[in-house]
Amino acid sequence: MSKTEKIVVPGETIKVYSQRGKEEGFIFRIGKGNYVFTHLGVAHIQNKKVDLIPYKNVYIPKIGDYVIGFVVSYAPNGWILEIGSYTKAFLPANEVVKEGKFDPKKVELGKYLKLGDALGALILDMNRFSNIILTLKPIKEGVNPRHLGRLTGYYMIKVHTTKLPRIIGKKGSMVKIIKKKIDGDLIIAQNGVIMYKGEYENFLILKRILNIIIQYTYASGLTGRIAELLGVSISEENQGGEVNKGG
Amino acid sequence: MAKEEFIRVDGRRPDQLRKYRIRAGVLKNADGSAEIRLGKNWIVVGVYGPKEHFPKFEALQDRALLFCRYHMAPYSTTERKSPKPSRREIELSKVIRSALEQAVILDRFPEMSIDVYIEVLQAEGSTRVASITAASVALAEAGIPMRDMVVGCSAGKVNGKIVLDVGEEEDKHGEADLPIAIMPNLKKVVLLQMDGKLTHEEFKEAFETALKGAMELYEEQKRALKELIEKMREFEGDEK
Amino acid sequence: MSEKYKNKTLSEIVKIEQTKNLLRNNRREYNRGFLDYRDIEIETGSIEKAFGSATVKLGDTVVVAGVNFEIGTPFPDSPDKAILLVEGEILPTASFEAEAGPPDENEIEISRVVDRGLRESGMIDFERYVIISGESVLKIFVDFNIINDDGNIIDAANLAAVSALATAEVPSIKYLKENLEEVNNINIKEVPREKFVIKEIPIATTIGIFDNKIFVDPTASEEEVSDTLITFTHLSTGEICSIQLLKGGLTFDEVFKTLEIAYDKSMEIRDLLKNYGISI
Repeated sequence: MSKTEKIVVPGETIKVYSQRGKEEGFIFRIGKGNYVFTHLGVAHIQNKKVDLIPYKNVYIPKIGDYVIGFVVSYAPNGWILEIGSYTKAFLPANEVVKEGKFDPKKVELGKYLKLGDALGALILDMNRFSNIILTLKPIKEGVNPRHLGRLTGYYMIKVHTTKLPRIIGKKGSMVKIIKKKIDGDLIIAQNGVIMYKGEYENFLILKRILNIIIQYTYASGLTGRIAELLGVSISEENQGGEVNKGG
Repeated sequence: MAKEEFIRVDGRRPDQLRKYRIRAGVLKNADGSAEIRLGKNWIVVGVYGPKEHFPKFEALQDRALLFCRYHMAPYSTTERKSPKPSRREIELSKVIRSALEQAVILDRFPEMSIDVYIEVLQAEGSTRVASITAASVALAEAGIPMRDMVVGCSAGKVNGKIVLDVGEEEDKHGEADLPIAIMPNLKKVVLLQMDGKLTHEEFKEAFETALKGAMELYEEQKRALKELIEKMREFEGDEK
Repeated sequence: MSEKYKNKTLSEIVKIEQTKNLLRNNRREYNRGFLDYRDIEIETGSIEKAFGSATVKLGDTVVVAGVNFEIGTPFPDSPDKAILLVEGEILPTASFEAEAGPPDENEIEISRVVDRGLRESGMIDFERYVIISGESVLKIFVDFNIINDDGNIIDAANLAAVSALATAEVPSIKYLKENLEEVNNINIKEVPREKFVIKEIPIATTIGIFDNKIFVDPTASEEEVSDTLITFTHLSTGEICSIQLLKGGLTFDEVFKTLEIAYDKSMEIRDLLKNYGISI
């Protein structure tokens, strides 16, 4: 079971015998039985399968993604949010206004959500020709309902979405270690917004850790190193699920 | 007959590139960036995007728009150049954009646009091929999907001899200038211009010479990009 | 590509789709050969107010070029050379898409490619048209306009510029030299004229590639549909004086293949010019 690693740039190819290729996730595509890498990154080749960890990747949202957006505009029947994607996102008013039918003449949107408010939401629907539609209903498992809706009192930082897998770690191993140290309410959204409610000193620790993860993304033993720096032990229990996005 | 070494104005051999170096990720705010030094050329490229495009009616529904601006700073040339875009800069912006469009996978980002800003801070001949070489690195650094890198190089005819990487003086007094850019793995020419006089045979020789130069610069592009990742692999012991 | 249809009339869209089908089936409109140019008509000298002029019809593409001369100061780094200024514009009449306004990148590119042909070819004897070294030289203005655009503007504009220059009459330099005192106050149009001497004729030939098929002299819809467009400008000696890849990419083989085709076509057009009395 050999495993090789190679740093690749766009256009480089790798010959792999498996027919199973993916035109996936903006990482690589099949070119005549070869994989052609479309991104700079580290390619892992194991058992005739290829995977690429890109240096940087553009975030393309999917239905079901948990995102944190900021209200940038009022629309006739809802709010427009910036979520860092190819178009703005839309939250229909009736997601928030519970009183039966939504009457635009009677309801003042600003009373519910103001410009600049932060909101955790799930992507309900996406359509190239209209905005991305958000919902506050917990339509997906593993999302903490407390993290849907207006988020106030959090410290926040925006990271490149490509770093999220590293920040979360395999089966949440990295974020588990971080939470052990800093406790508090930590939210990691799939559009790269990270929020933390707790002591400011702990937030500073979080920032430092994030910087290290971002700076040494490709270092092996990163999780162990972070655990060391934090003085936290890496537990062997495998409680998956708790440390999912939004939770 | 004694073998004469053809020495150029700056002492180079005919098949020699000027001193070069590419660095990626040099600008903090841009989504992607790179700089190139080639002889006295110093060019910085910043890439923004993919981002929402305004005005909306201008956006394309099946792919992203690519904008490219090649611009020379007033202090970049021997005589001050007006900051207003000249006809040459407009032409070069177009040919560079047209070349990059062959490599960038634009249909991943409908309705969006990608801006490539090329700033020539010091010019010393063959700026368009140096620019496109740096622009390709900036696009890759931004994480924008590409079919291949784009790398450029020039060749020319100076004093009757075909030479690689034409410098400013050589361009002024030489007989021909041939800037090219290619996608090295796909083996496609995406920028090709010529200016001067060349027979078909001379063109073939110049083309092959420029190709060799481009492949050498491609190695430097790879090195500059891979270096970004190398830096993220080894702990330097400065974390706390 | 959606942008293909943004600014087009129904008529143009039909032509574009038709062209795609034809090319895929190895055909061109009117059963034109892939290596055939459309009919070329050249008329020179019809604009009397200019020192030289030419109207070129390449199929339905119509380009008019005019030559003007003025006396001016040479550039500081070339005191013994006349000055050449070449500019072209696509008039708003040329197509639905064409707009009035300052030259856009296409118009600038076309102007510069034609300029390179005239300038680099050795067609104009720049040193001949100097009145006082370092002080006063001839300024040669070549302006062209595309009246109707059915593709391949560059080849047509180049032909128009070349024909206008070849048949132009230039104010006699000898006369100007002999009347130096009046040079600054002279009405250049009243100076006796002589034939403008040309020493070469650059011929531009544009080639399109679509669906791996190579064809010369593309129409407007063929240009839209092409993946690749490239122009080569040749001299009577067989030398190349300009190359411009206008759109797309080429394999290394295609570079040399299109170069050969361009040369062959340029020789044919050169012969055609002889019928109009334009040769060196």
